[in-house]
Amino acid sequence: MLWAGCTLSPAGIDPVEHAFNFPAEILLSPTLASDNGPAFLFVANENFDLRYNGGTVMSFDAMRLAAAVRDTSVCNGSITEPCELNPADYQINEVRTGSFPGGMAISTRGDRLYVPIRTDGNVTYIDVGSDGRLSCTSGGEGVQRCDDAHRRGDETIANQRGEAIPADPGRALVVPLSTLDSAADPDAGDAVIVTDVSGAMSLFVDERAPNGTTAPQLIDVVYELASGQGGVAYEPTENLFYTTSTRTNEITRVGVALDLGAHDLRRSFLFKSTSKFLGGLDDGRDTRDIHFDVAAGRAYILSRRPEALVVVNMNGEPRSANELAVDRIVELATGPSRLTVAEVNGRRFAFVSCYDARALYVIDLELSQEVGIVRNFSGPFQIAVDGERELLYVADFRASNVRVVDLAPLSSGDPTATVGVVALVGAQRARSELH
Amino acid sequence: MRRVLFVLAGFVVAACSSTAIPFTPAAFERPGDVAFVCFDTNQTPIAAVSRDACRRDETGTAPTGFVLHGLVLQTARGEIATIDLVANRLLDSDTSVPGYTFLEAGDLPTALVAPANPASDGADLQVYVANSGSRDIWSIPARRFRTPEYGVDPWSSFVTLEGSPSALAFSPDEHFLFAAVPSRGSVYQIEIAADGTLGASTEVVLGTSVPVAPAGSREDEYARECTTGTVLPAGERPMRTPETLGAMPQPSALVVDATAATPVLLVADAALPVIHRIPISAAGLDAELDGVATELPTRDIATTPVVPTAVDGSGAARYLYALDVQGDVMAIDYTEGATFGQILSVGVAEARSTDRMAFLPLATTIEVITPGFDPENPTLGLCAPPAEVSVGANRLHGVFLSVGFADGTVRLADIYDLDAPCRGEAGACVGGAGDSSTDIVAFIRRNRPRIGEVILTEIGTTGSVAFQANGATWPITAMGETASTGALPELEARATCANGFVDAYPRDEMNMPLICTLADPWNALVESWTAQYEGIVVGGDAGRFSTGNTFLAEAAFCNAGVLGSGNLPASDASVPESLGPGLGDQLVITSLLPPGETRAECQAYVATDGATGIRLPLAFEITRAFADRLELGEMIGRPDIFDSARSIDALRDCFGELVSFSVRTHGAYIVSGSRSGAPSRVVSGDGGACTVDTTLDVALQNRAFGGVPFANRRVAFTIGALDGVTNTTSLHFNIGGVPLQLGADVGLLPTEMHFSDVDGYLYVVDTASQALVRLQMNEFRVLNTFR
Repeated sequence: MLWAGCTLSPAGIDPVEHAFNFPAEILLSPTLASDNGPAFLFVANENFDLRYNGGTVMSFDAMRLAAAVRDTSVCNGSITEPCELNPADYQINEVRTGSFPGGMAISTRGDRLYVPIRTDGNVTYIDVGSDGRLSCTSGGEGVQRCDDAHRRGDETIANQRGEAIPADPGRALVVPLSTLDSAADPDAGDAVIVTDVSGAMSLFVDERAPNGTTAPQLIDVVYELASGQGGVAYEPTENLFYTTSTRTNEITRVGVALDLGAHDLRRSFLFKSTSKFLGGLDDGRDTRDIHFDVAAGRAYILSRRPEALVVVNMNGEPRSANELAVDRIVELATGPSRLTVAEVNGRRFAFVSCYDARALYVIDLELSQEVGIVRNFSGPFQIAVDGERELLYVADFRASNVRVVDLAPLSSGDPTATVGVVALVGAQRARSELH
Repeated sequence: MRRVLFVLAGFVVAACSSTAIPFTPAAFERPGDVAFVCFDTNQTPIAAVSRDACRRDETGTAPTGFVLHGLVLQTARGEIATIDLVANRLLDSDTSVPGYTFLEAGDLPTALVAPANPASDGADLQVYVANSGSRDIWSIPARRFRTPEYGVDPWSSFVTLEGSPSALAFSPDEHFLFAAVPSRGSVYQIEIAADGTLGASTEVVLGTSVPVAPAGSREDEYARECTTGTVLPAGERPMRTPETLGAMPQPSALVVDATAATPVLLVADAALPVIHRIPISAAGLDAELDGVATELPTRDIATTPVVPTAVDGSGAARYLYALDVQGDVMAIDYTEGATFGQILSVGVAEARSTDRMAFLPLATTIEVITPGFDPENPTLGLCAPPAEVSVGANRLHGVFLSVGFADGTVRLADIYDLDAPCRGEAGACVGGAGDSSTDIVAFIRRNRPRIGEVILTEIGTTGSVAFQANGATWPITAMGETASTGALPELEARATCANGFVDAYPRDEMNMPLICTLADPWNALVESWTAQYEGIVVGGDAGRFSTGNTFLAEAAFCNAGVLGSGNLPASDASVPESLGPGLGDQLVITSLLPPGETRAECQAYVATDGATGIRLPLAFEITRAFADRLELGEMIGRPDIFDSARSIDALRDCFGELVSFSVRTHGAYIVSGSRSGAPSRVVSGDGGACTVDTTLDVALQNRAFGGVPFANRRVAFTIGALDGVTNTTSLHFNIGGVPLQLGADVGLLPTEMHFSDVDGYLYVVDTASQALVRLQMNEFRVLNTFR
């Protein structure tokens, strides 16, 4: 009986093609010199309810999507009645991954996605073709399922130090090797930092071989960081990575030492620098995201206790030893989850998704004041901003769709124009209707 | 750990109540500004009337039928909630809809004000709301907050501006409404018609000139201190270079000063270091006057009425308070005369800053409160409490500055305490005689945090004072000795503590002090101190061996306080950093060998102590430190390593170019406080070389040497000289007994405060906990929370 039970439908149900299924991550391809904006939009679907046998990563034509939103014959620009766009009409393709793909990042050249997979405890890399097609197998037709060769970091002996990545990878961040160490060749490739919820951080290096066939290599793992690792950002002045924590008020700082002199990047390592603390708040022990504005000497930290955007003066004098110098606190609504900072028409804004309040807050960083609240989401989570086209994409986790926000009112100067959702990619429908 | 006395009486009462309080889900959503309106419920329909009609009498009783209401902006939903502040209940404007329904405001409302009186006799009283999303200001008939009207526009009039308004204020006669528009660097003046609706608007662009703060350093003389100890005066105020955060003005808060001979609109500026002053005449705003210099941009301001200069009620003075963009509060002399505009000294030299109030958390909002104070008769009630009232720290009777903080608390600063002459009896009290309080020791000084407890103990060490060595703890006796038979130093006695410091350990009169600590009750800190022999100056970093004996790392060595033997000045008693053995710091290599490195000469570098199993230190002398590199000397110790393996080149051969490392002191203790850290005078000098900046305060010390008296801004002691001390040895003690500041825990993030002189309560909006909190003054504590 037990044996029979274990063999029933072992492959499970494949995710439905062209359908969002608890989208948790969304990102745009980098704008390259030859482009007029990001070419592709990528969405990772979590399979949160484990209905299917895995998650998916979808690729969309961002230019066509933006054109449709701006085409008045398709979308009338109304924020009271947003138009509905069929994902299949703009989708390039999709690939299947393990369940709970999240925190993905894209390579500097825009040709590879790095997707931490929480159920499998690995980082799956997915190649992005020049046409935006995703690929993570050595071949095959139809919807691909990423093969073992594209799952990195979970091998029994993953690297020469005998380390594998911890079991609960959270978010990935890509930084060019030449940024971490000016001695590195500008085309040397990327470092991929992956946080782990248990309080660890992994370093992958993706070197660029001439034939482009290299895979990212796990180099080092550092443990005993603050648990509940949340957001991660790179601070170039100190050459350190900062991570937030959902369980403490500790802001962990980790450095990467690249061993370029020995011409063996495998001898590179991560090291834990002294931590900073978010003091003077009640109580700062749940932070979700972080972003640096190096030119302004500021860090923006997304806090849930209190629910606020905390502005840190990186050059300021802290109030107590080992604390960050908090300069300003901008109140938010309940459940702030993700933070993106972007420039629209020469002015910098912070965009914050507030999951429980079902709203998106737009904050003018010069005035430290909200200039827009976009409502009527079901569960807004990750945000991607196309600054060139003045559009913002929000993964609505609870409604399983992607909403497109028109940012043009931020630069129009028209007091009657309001920032709002103008298009819905995917249907406005109940979860029970998703099959 | 918060150093605030939280009054718990309310919780105790609630706990003893036999009636369970039903759970009420929060109706508020990101509350913002609050305004007050008086309704006459004797009329039908209920009408909004002059606010003074709701004024409570001397016994605190509200007039029958006149009910004060609070209107609270709901910034997330664009609504205005109404609270009956007598019945203590939230009003539902549409009972046909489940949950609480509030009145509609505009898109992204940011400010709300209600006038004291209707615009004219017989006119409906209107309230005014500023909307930053739709860039307009609405007038709304106040009657609708009691009697909703359906099927009508939510506004009675509105004015559209060219930018987003962020703050509102009335002219003294309430004929004009002023609106701050940060994005345009201007203030709009909007006429209010006789029926209360909004009329023509005029934009007044703020000036960009930045005045210079008057020179000099002065502390206000107002003080009531009863103590057997010594309280130092405020330190010299630093002259700061004015800082700007933009080229254009950015008005952030408006206050109308109606007390001045000519009323003035004061405008805080979040970009320029100035408080703008614009005179107000019957025709509206006149030409801008010279502003008040603040040296830093500001976010909030508050002014006092005319208050006596002395505790006995004599003299007259005014103060302007400003919350700067770094979250600190400054006090400015606002008395007309030669000292007008002077930023006052409000902290001792040992404080974080002498010209900022001694509050540690980040301040978010300020308000001057005047419970029981009559501006027409400032000495009314001076040391004359009612018979049944015991004068104490948590009775607020006079003029105080209320400050909200990012740690969820509201605390106070003393300005003019009518009860002050009654407080304290210890020693020869400063500020007059007379006592009817329970206080023995009292510390009241203008512009200092209000202390909120009966002080029972002096500041000093708490728990044991001990050396730790090899994992064992050895308490130190009052004679400075331990029971250890090992190589542990003693603490040497000092003849006396310096002025402004007290005996921290021991505290009896039989023994000379071993440890002294700062006595200032407003600036002393509860914290743990450690003096670690050969402790870590820079830890957990990575660097690389370069050519010659140079070691490179992005560790900001000078900022961290690293000194090589060649960076140390010649021994000079006036330069405490020079009084050690002159060894300079040491570089300790903490890397493991690379995978597969098995050569015996390499393995020697990571050898362990046979007895303890601890890795033997692998360290080099630092001959000179620079901001980004170290020049290394000889390997320290390790006779087990052959001469041929003691060079940098030999290490590089084994470890590779890249290693992890730390920098430790050499022959010195590194002294650090859990809250003060280990500040030093080491800076990056010529050519990036680390050097001691002798122009800085000599009390910025973090190195103690055996046999040499050590003193920094907060503690002083002398560790005896002894050979054979190891880097497992450290001195530990805790400083406690610091008086608690009076405060109340109002939630998570107080963002707005308004004192209502009509009912005598302080109202605090806590945005993060979705609440309006009411605090009482007679016994300072949270009375009600509305959400």
